[in-house]
Amino acid sequence: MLALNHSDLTLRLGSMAVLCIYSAVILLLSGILLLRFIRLAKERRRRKVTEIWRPLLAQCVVEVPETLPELTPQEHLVFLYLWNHCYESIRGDARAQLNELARRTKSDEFAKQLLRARRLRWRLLAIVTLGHLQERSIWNELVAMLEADNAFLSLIAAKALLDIDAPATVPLLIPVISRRNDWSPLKVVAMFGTVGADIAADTIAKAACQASPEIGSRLIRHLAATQSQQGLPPLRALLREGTTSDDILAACLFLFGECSDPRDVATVRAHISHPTWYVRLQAASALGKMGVEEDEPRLITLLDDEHWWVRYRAAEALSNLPWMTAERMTQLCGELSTIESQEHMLPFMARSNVRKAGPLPSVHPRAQAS
Amino acid sequence: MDWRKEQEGPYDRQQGLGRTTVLLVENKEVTACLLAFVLQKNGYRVIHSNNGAHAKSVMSAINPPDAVLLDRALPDTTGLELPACMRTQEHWHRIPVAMLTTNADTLDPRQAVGLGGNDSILKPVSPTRLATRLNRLLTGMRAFLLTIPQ
Repeated sequence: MLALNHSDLTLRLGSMAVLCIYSAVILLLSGILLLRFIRLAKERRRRKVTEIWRPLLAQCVVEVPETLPELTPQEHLVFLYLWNHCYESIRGDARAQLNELARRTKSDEFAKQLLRARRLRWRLLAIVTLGHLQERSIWNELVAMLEADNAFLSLIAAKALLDIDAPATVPLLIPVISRRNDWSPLKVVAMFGTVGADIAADTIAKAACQASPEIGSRLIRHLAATQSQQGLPPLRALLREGTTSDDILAACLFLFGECSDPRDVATVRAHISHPTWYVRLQAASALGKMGVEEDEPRLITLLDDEHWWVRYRAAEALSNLPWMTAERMTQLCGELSTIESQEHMLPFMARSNVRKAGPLPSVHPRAQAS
Repeated sequence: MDWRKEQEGPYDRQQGLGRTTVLLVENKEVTACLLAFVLQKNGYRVIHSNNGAHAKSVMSAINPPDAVLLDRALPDTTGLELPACMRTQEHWHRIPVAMLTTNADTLDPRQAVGLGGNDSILKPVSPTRLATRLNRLLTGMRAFLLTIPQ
């Protein structure tokens, strides 16, 4: 009797377990089907909005149509992606037409609601849209976002602020750029793309002057990407104070070499015998780009430097001097007192000889002769 | 969407046949739609190709257009490969090519010529400027062709 009860209980437990497994499988399948259905519905909605609005957006570049289709909130999200893409594909007066379209579809109001959404990508979409629309009413919210933990969110907010009012944004951005070590200097340079190279260079240089040596040196190195010399005056003033760190000094010398302004040659020469090896290295490289004939002996002296990389860059700088010919390099190499310094010159002599000889023949001359 | 079909907008039908044809090679659909609309609005007939491989197949399938508008950053090919390919084809080697470039790879027209193009247009594109530049390119090419003895 006891055995029978026991087996009865086991049977009941077994059937319950089977039932649970079946229920779990059915639930899982339903979940998968539901997700698939939601995805398909989203895709269908995206396609529908794209089909309706893509030609309309193109038409808006010339004139905004009198009647526009209604947008549900879900469709409005897709529309905003399309609108922003379109906005970034054109420039000039056509952007004003797109702004008019956005106002007529109440996209500014919708974007303001999205600004408080929990999903980050919706908030980002709202910030970009409102930046393009130059919506001043969200200025304070965007300024607060500059301090957000998320680097991406804060960078997008900075870009939107620049779109809304660049002159008012620049003073706000200088301390933020100098403080945030999670902002990529390349992204910072790109952020100023629409504002102008001179404003970008000036702002980044001022931020670098206020920043820690680690952040400041990274910013200065990327200043060359702005292709503007507007960043040089604040850095010259910083160097005149004489209290800069070696990292900042090396970055400034790198930038002076890239910009090759003759006014900075004296500063570069003054650091050729600096106690820190990487400052000497940057001074040597910069002299190779901006030096005159009287700098040649200085670079030759650096060929006997105690640090390998300084000797190597000095040899490279010598080979980069505009008057340096293959013959002059060979003569110079013969005059060098140590074998080590001669060895540093050899790869650059070889490169110079290749340049002089032109492209290599496809068939070896000896083989050709035979 | 069948990209081999010519994109005909509302302005296309009003213009009739015998209009200037432009081959537009651009992979971003929104940008392509926009440029096609602006070109059609200015009276051009537009044939769109959305990648390098398709553009090459179009080259062997259609009569040469009057001009090519080529995005320099295509996903499957560099903007340099297509002009080189065009210059090797008999009826395509004198077709003017305007390259669409971004800030990062800004080319001046002389550099564009060095890379196989005839002009470069900076993206984002200004619709009025696009039409003017394309018109100037075509006028210049027609004037050049007139100087060549038949």
